[in-house]
Amino acid sequence: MNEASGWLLDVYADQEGGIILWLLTDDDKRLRLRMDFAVTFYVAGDFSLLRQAWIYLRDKDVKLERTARRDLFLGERDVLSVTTSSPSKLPKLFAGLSRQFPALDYYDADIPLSLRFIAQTNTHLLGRCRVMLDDEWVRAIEPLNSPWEIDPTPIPLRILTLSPDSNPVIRKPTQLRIRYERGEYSLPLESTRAFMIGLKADLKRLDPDLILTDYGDTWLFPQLTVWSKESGIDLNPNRDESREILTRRADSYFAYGQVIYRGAQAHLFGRWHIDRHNAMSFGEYGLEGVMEQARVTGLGVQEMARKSPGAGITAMQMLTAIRNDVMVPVQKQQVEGTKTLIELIRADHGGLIYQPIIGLHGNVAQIDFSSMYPAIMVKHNISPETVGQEDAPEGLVPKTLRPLLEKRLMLKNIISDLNPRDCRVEILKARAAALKWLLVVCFGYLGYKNARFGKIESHEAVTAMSRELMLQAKEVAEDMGFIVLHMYVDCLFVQQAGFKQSADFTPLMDAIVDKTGIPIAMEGVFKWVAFLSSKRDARVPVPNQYFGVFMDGSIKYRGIELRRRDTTLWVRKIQLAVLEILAKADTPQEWAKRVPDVLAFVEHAKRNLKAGHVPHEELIVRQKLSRGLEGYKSPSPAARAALQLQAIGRQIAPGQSVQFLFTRGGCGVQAWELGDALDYRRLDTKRYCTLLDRAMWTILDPCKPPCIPERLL
Amino acid sequence: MDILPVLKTGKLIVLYTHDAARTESMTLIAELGLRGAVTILDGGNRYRPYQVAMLLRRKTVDISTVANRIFGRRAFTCYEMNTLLGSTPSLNQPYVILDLLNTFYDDHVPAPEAARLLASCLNQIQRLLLSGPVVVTLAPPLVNERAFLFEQVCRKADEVLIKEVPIYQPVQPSLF
Repeated sequence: MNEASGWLLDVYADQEGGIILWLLTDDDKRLRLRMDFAVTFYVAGDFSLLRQAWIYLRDKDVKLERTARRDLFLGERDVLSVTTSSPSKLPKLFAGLSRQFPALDYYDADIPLSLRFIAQTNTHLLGRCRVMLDDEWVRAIEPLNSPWEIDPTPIPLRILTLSPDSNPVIRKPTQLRIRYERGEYSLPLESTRAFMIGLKADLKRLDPDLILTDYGDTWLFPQLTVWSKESGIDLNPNRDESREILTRRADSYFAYGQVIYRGAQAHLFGRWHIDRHNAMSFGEYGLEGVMEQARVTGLGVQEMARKSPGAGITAMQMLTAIRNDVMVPVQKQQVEGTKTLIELIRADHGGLIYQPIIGLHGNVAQIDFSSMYPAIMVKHNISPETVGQEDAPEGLVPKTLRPLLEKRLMLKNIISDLNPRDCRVEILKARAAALKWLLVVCFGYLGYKNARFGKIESHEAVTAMSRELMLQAKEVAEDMGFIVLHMYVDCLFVQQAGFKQSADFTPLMDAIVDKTGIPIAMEGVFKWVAFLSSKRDARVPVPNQYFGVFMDGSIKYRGIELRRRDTTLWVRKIQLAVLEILAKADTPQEWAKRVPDVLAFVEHAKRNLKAGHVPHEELIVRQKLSRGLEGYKSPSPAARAALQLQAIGRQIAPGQSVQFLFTRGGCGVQAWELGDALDYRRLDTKRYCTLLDRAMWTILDPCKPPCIPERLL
Repeated sequence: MDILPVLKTGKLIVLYTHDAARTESMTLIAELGLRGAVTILDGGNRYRPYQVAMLLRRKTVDISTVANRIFGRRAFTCYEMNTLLGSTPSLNQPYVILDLLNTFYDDHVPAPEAARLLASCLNQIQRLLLSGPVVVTLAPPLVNERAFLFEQVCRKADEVLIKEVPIYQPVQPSLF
């Protein structure tokens, strides 16, 4: 029997039974290994129906047993356990059974295979492990590290980057840029045959672990299939040559209050493919973040790159459930308890918002509770099955979150101890951000309709506790002589005459931690901060809309045009430049003296626009389609641009962004993807100036009308 | 749409409007609350407790007594709606089911599964009808493929009240 150790790259079902593992070994080999692996799901419900299900399954090459298993809410249940030695057959088996017996309750039937594997072997994806081998068969596997390790040994991945020389939606690419380590070259796309031969040779020679692409999901891999047929050159980008590319269709769905479009997907076997343009948060935390999420959630890297953090949290909860012998229901059925009208009004609230005091304020500290909601869930044991119970054992949700919370806190502490120029900082920040997103969504998932373990009461309990803690923090601050200017869900803005340095606020922070038991962190002390008023009524403040400058000169802004995705780059640049002009002011008094500089700068920017000196790329407006084009009664500018694209045969799905320019005459817009050159005289400069005026009006809000005319220039 | 006079035990009344009778249903809940206990089962996040409280305030000063006998529960998936109805006790009081079909219109739930669950829900509604009147509000489906669900409910109803969206014609304003 042989032994090998290395990093676990991939786990998936073997069509011939059992599973396939890919191991990147210490001596830089990539091993395709096989392992016997049985999977079980459970069926519960009416006994006469269960008997019929048993008869249905009897000749399906599965092992059937009657056993008792725990449902998180219902306790022990008598269930029919169905075990198959071929995980690849489970989806079809379950689909057939549930179609035949829809009234039965199903458990553990749709758990991702990687989670079952992790739960059974205690290893983790991207983790190090040792395997005992009998030829290609794994006889034993042993973990060599934990997903919660702060400084895991980096995986020596071979990364191949493929990107076309243009966005295929706008212009037909002519070359494919190929980057590997420090080498970079291009393969022309003119001759399909030559291109396919070149790419095939490169894949064989470089044998990458990760193919990182631009438009790989939506253009390159579908095209490769077409070109392969056309040229007769068989190119299989999988490392496992017995498999074909796994494709998933594009779809639009509603989440986080908006319609989100997810493009088609191309998954590989034995190596990973990530399309940077179709990976949900790749721009925010990159490959390091995606790998960190895969490590702790147990979902494969390709899955995690494309899915929302919510899928990651669900996977973690499933893993906790399996490890604690709790069955994972296919459909959550726990419903809200009965509430009277008064109880509902009292319970159904969100986080606490204490309206800001409008205007400019000097020497203001912003202090934030660190991961407040997850910390509340862990500290107060808030979980769907424990809510409302005294002295309940640790619930499933806190049990899942505790190590995640601790790891993120440790990463943050390490980052704060490092020199900002240290090469490790960026990687650690990406990993901490990836964990942060998992923590951010875990609260929403307590009340989310499709969460496996959620209950609206536990969701309400968290917000109720957060409101209480915020009030406690406010009382502590006021008792110590601070003025609380603004509170927003988990952060406070406080001020006290003579307090300027972070250290001045340390006693306050210590007192808040003592009182609440939740860690708190100093975001920074502002030289000045502006809280804005409503555009409709200047007497009404707007929560979480502010900008300010910290003592170190860095600028922070929330809720203004600069943060909005549909703001043009031109407006964003000018708004940021204006903030930089104002950032030179050290006090609110100096701030007003900078306003003439701002006005002069804005006037200059407008002259540049009218003279045609602003590149059209900076004037592109990006807006999402919130519905199908047929759903618009009076089409928005984005819908009008989408209609232009539809006329040239390009379909835009709800949730997809449309880019366009505002033009004079016609329908008032021109879709950017039409690719037609636009004379700058056709640009609707008046409209762009209005957008800029709005952005400037936000910044100059603290000045109020008497000193600035409504139309700035 | 005054349906109070026609409410009686054993009668299933369906209100169908483009917004699942958003305003009318809150008025109805307040009126029923003033008369006695009422249970609201919300399938489309349509229940507006503040609006009901405001309506009650116009009619009574003893708001807490009334508010304590208006009971509510919410369902966020059609599976939950099925469980919700199955676990609702049959009491001698009216039931208002808000936007019953909203969760059934979810395209992630296959149409046959939605039909099966709705049939189960309708059986539970029949059970509730034995002890009190039931009012169900409905909104149109987002896609025509789910229109059969509306018909499935209407077949069981004793009365279906439909409010069409008024079509406003442009009117030339007078100059003086």
